[in-house]
Amino acid sequence: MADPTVKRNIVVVGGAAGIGREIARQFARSGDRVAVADINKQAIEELTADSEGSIFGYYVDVSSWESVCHWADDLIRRFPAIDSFIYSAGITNRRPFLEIDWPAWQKTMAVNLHGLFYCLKAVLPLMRQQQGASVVIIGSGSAITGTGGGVHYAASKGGAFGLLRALVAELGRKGIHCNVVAPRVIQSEMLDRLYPDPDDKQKLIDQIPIGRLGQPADIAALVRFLSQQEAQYIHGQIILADGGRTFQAD
Amino acid sequence: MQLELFPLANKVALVTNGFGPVGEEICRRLAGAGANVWLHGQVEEGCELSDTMAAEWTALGVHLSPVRGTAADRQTIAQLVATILEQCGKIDLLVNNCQAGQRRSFHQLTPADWLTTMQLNLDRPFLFCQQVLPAMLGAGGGTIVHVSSTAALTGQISPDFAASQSAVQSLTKGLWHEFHGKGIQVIGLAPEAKEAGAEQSGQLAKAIGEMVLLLGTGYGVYLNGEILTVHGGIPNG
Ligand SMILES: NC(=O)c1ccc[n+]([C@@H]2O[C@H](COP(=O)([O-])OP(=O)(O)OC[C@H]3O[C@@H](n4cnc5c(N)ncnc54)[C@H](O)[C@@H]3O)[C@@H](O)[C@H]2O)c1
Repeated sequence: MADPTVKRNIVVVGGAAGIGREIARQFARSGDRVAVADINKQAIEELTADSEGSIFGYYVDVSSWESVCHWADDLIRRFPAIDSFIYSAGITNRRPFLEIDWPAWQKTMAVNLHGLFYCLKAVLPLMRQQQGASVVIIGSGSAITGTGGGVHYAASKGGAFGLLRALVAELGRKGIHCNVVAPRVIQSEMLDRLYPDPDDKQKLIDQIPIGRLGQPADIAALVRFLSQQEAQYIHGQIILADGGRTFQAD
Repeated sequence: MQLELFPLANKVALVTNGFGPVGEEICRRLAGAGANVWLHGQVEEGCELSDTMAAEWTALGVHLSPVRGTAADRQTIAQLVATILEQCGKIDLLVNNCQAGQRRSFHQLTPADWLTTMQLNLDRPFLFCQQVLPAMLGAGGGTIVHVSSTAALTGQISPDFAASQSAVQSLTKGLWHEFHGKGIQVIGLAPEAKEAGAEQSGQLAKAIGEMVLLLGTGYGVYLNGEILTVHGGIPNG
């Protein structure tokens, strides 16, 4: 077992709201040092203010390589060796395929897919190269089903799968294990934007065998498990966390 | 079952990113089956299509549409689709070849490389689908085939390539989900990831050409939404 008295350095990109925020809070509560990077300055401030100094906030726009480099230069000062890296930044703007205009397509790709690459490119060199270091990417079940946030969202989230597999050999040899967690419907700001009508939410719940929406805490618990050394043998996996929705029989 | 000699007579096909062994095999098969084929593709800067090659394609009845530069040129794509619709009145089959890539490590890969691969393998198929789908929907149907690769699952060739392959497979699923009730078939082919020139890559290209022909003839309707792995019985791993 890992020594619980040793503080680990955790980085959560997209950690100022929703699933990422819960991940950051859970790590901080268990005594780890957490860096949260996000584009939402106000949300970062609110989160760090009530974290009693265990969460450090950073502004970054993941869709800009310059912004990511700038952030990484800053990060290295307080987080010279990172134990776990989590990517939870994401956007959705669901619309029919023929109404996805070029800026909407580009923006979705830039945040959900290119931003993931930029952050990995900048942060992997700062990671501790020892057994038990880890990467967890928050993907989406929509990459598997094609449903959810629209075709552009599905495509952008799908990119993480091939990228993950391409990193397995290289990162494994450095002691870093990496996985994708793919949720489907988790109660968050993002979900509220996608399904503002409570009736639509109820329809979703009716499709989930476990009988409720997922909570950020469900995903955070899984991410924490995957981030520790005990989970090292789970490497290169895409783990669907959906309350059974994807495989329910009609 | 009686197979027709020219099962694609009167059909119009558009093959994208097609200057390469796989794209050429696809075009040869489709043209050989009687289709009116339009071939769009990347030609390296400073490198011309040879006259003999152009003559060969013209003899087969394939219209060539070479482009330069890697940026997803929306206007060129819109113009090409408009020209085809003007001349032929419809597009029955769109084949997006999404296999641009080269071997490199994560360490070697730059953000510019990453974006180039995504432009070729992901942005372009998106733009072609958006341009072609309204015509297909208007005509009551059509088939879209995305040729990706097993690298989506195995991570072979390079991180950018593998990521673009899994992304395009999710694009395939998303399009299928949205359009399957409207007469549109969207199917993925995932040949084993091989570098051009590798042993058996010629056979693999032929196999892809044959699969596209099959799907183009409409024999594949029950495969709608599937991503079919094509590896010649020698899987990886
Ligand atoms: N909520 C769900 O049902 C659900 C389902 C499947 C997958 N996901 C995925 O989970 C992840 C988290 O989603 P969430 O539900 O917590 O959403 P959220 O909107 O609550 O949180 C996303 C966070 O990413 C940040 N972000 C957006 N653009 C950014 C940028 N350019 N640079 C830096 N940060 C940026 C936002 O500010 C926000 O804090 C996303 O990747 C999403 O695709 C969510």
